[in-house]
Amino acid sequence: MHINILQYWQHLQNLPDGHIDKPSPRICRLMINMFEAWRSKSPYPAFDGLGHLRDHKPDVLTAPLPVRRGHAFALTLQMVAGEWGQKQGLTYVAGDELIIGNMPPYSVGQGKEVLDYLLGAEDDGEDERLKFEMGFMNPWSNFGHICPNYETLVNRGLDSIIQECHSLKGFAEPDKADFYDSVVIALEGVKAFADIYADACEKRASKFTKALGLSQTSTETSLLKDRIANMTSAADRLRRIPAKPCSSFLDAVQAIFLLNSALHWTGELSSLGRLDQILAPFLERDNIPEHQAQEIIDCLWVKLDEQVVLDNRIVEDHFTSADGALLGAGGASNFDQGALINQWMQQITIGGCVADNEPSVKDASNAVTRMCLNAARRLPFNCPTLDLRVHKGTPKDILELAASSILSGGAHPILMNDDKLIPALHRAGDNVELRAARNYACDGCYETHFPGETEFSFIYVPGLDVLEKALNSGAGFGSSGGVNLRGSKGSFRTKPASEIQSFEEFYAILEEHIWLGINRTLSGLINAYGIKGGICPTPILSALIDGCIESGRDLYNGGAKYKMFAPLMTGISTVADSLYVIKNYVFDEGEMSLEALVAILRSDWGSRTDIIGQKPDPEEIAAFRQKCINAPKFGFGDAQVDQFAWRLAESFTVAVKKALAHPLHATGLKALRDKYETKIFPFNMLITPGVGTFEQYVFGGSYAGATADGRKAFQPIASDLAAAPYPQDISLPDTPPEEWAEHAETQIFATKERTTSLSDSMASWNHSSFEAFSDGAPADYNIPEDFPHDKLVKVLRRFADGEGGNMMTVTVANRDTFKAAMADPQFYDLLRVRMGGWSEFFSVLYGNHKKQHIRRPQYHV
Amino acid sequence: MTNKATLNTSLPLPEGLFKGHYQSGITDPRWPKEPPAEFDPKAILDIINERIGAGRLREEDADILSLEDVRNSYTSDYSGRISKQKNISIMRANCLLKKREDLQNLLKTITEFASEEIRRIPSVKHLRILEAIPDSYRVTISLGIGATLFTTLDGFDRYGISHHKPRYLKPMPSFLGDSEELDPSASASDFIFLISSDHPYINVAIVRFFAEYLNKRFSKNYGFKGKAVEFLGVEEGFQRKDTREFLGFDDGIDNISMREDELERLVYITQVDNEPDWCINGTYLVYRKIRERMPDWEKLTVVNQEAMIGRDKETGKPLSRQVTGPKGKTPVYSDSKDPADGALNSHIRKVQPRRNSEDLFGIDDLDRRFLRRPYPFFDGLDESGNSINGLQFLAFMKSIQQQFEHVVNMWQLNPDFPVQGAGIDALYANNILETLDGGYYFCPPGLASPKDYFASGLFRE
Ligand code: HEM
Repeated sequence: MHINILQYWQHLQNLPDGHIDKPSPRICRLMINMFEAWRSKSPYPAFDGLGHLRDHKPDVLTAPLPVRRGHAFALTLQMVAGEWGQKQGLTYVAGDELIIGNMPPYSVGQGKEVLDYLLGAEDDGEDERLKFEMGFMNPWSNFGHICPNYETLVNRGLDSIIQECHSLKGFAEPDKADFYDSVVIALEGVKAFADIYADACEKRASKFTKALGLSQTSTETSLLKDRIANMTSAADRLRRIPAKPCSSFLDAVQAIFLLNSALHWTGELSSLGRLDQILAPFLERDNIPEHQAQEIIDCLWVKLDEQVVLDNRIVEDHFTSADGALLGAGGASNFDQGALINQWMQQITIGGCVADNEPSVKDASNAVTRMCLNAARRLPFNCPTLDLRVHKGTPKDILELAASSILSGGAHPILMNDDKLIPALHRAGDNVELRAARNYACDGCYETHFPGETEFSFIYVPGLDVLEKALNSGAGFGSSGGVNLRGSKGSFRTKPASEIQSFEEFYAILEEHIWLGINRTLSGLINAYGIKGGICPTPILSALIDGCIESGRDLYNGGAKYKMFAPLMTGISTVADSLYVIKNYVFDEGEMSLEALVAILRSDWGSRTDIIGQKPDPEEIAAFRQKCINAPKFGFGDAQVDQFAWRLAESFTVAVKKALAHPLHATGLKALRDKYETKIFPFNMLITPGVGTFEQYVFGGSYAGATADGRKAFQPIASDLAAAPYPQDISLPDTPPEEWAEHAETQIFATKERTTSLSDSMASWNHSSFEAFSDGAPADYNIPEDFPHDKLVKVLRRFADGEGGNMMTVTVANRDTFKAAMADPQFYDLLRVRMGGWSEFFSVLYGNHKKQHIRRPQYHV
Repeated sequence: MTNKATLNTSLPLPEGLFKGHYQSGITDPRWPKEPPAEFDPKAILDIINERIGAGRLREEDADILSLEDVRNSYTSDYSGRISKQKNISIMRANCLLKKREDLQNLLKTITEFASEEIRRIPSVKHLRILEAIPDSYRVTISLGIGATLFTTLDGFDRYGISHHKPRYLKPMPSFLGDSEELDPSASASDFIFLISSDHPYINVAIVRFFAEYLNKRFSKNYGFKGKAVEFLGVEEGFQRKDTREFLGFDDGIDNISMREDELERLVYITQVDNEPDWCINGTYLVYRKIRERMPDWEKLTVVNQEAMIGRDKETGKPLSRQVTGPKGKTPVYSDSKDPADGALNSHIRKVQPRRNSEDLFGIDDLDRRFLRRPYPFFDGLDESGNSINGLQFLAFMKSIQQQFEHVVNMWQLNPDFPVQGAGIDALYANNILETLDGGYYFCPPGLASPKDYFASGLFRE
């Protein structure tokens, strides 16, 4: 496993020539330069550094908003690639690069800069800036989180889309004509962007040519010659693509990367999709040697990782109140930024089955699938996140490569089970084609969608919230006490705990709160649907999403063929563990009344005395808490407690379905259908429930009160659908983890870990109720560094064959490695951890995230 | 006045201001490639013979016995090599200013100060009649800039110049063999001044001038109230005429000679390097203050010492079976993994394996070389009465990462290089060496004209 950069290089140096893990000298040179850059602050455009349209092109200020946006995008690209960006070090070309271009430093956590195009108080006309901010929306609200149709890009090229827009505009109504105009302006901007890079390549080639005259050594001469040839052909390529169709493997990778970077520079943090499926035909046609193709893939990997920051003291915060606004959330969009320093939503999905409508399932893995797995194993990065789709027919060598990659330390790839996800996605709406479901890819994290034809957004349904509301008559425990008395109210005022007679009665109340939550979510979504189209339209992305050009509509204005929304439940393991306590210790064994438990939770396990109602005895609380901490937990293959997670999943997914059919939403849905249905595409509003916190397990717990599993108020919850972490307020013993069983507080936890193997634990996720999570519900696992490769391959095979949940992620690191990394971050600069679709360098994490990873259960062989 | 040779062959002078593309004091003063006109091999041979005749030098120790040997010695020891001044003072400082324009003005003041000192002609006033002083003390003052000037350790870009940061400039990381007290990021500084001359008194005068008057001059010139610069201390180094340092070995034998192409290839940044334009003709400086534990070293037999260095102590010749170079002082290793050419953990084998093939990065080992400009130091005694002495290791290169760090991390301190279990550099493995202090800096290009100032490229938008 690669734990630090230095050891990584020393390891490569010791490998014999031609070893499969040894990247080419070019890749090594690019990589070492990149690692250097990881240690210092990335150049970042200043706040409002891109300025306003009125500074650059005042004549277009009177144009309709979508057209202004098109100009803003074109200008942005011109600025960043041109002198303005080059001077600031935002963009550059290096002689060794096969893939040209640069990603912006805009990680999901650090935020982005956009060139403003809205009219303000100083302009004639409506004060758009004020109007949109009133509703928590602004030019930063683009959501990314989807894959463009890169097949269209590589096979057709931008010129053909521009041409199509010109011809469709002729018959279009005015607002659609504006849309076409905006697409044409923005795509011309992308072409100019490529041209500027071509100029930069030519400039470098001529510098190298001059230096060639002076060069003395043969190594230097051959290096310079290679660079000259490389820069010259890169320049030629960029003059041709992405305007024209791609004609080689390298063309295709370059075109995809350039578009990906153009989207990110313009604030649309999109993802890459099923790269192996898109690229394989080019590889077949090219017939280049495998090592050459692998080098191109490796170059792409390097490009995607250039913006890593290894030191969280030198990060930026460019966030606004509405960055990546969640549709229908109706408030400021504060994500857990501190956990998103090195995350750019750049997923690459590989493997799985062929996307067709045939009755039989055909495995889709190919040479590019294997190259991606090689890259993920031999390059110690955290990006792109590699998502490997598996199914019963996944070849053995793919699983072997996946296991090697996981054990190399990057927690790549994530695994997703086609046999579970495809049927769920196919059933997600009335009109989902089997081909589309079979083509699913990850959006930017792990969430599924149909690449190149989907609009996507998600919204959280916090599990802890409904649990609290059920216990506390519609109020949470977070602010119980002097401020909100029994707690902060937010749902139906249901029966007080003292009147609840049975667990079933209690559970029915919990379902009531779920029901309200889902209906609120759906209504928020219906009301807000399409709103972003008039605020932050996205002409480049729309050009590459099926349905938009055909319908003359922006992606954010209902243009996409499929509209997919994912309510994501969080905290399921904590809720399940708490339900176990409530059912067994309260209702069955009667050790504590529900009213007394509520009092304890209001008091945050005795930390607050200023509460209304019963005042529990501190000693009794301490003893009861220890019992709750030691109670069976979800995620260890113990059906006694797992059953509560299954039941909760069922309640949630059934409520989603029921809500969609509820008469209260019928009018809203019909209005949307009337507005957006076209002759070509029926109105497809797909609701795909899932489970996910991604990185937000700290944030997700930060507003929730104490829970009956022993967790204290505001403490983190589990990531995604993982087992809950050991409570953060209890310090872990200083002794090696294998001796923890000797400590009273950690005894049960340690024993549970020791006695549950990774494969035994899969039973916790192996339940039909989880299969309705069409958007995915990852089980995040931690395993020790000495986990044998063959044993891991077996586990992956079992997963591919249908055991476990529909997604699994594996982080490899011993607990003492984490501890050592906390003390000496420089030495552990490559230690990486994963939660769902998101991974991070451990040393960059802030304190409570680090604590969480140490406290996640370790699963053994 | 017995040594005619030194009298006749005057020392090369520094390039002077506005002459070259490069800052003075890095690759100059430098001996010309061909011997200067006044170089008289016959006179030199006579002097050597005179020394032998007088019993001051044993014939077997004098490896110069013919005119041919004298000429070879020039080629080997002088041609294109730097002619270091006798003394160095290393001053580090932090900038206390808050504004970009103030920093710009400070750099102008520093340039003004340095120029005045470099131009100063040795005074002959008050000189007693039998005293001789040189026409020049060969003063050079070179400025290096630390990563913290661009962004503080917690990421703050005080002067809006972070986008100009030389790509590979960063605070020095820690390495194996660092003293326990060394926290390299804590000793990072915004500036380093390398002040060199041929007389300690001159160095003292210049150090004092900077320490006591720079802030005053800045305030006077720009009406600034308060302190602009905080000096963090002074380090000293000296040089012996025989170029031996404390360990008793000749240090610098295989240092790079300064033919034009090697300057561009190994020391100075050119336009093909991936660096901001303003960095062209600049160079990176690695400074390490390395203590040498003399009692431990002197306990060792000469054979052991030679095995640790990889060279013969007397002659400086390598322990390899084959040698090359004008005086046979450059090793040839037919197999970089074969200990028959000197222990695999000896210093010179660990810091330059001289393999024939390109490495992992497609780079020749010899392209990892850099210019060493080290000076021994003596800091008195520690509490136990042991001398605190060692080497002010100063090295210039175009990429810290490709040169110094590669050499140290991949070879010198990599226990599995060149073969599994070879061990780290014997000097560090046996605790002879211990790094006490240091830092990474970037030395901007030289001054283009009298109006120019150090690092002016930072302010050219
Ligand atoms: C107190 C510390 C050190 C002492 C006493 C020392 C001494 C020596 C000696 C005696 C030689 C052989 C003569 C020569 O080729 O110049 C040498 C060579 C060399 N040393 Fe050091 N050294 C020290 C530290 C370092 C460090 C920290 C480095 C950094 C990597 C280094 C790099 C080199 C290199 C590159 C050579 C030339 C090897 C060759 O080309 O074969 N030295 N050193």
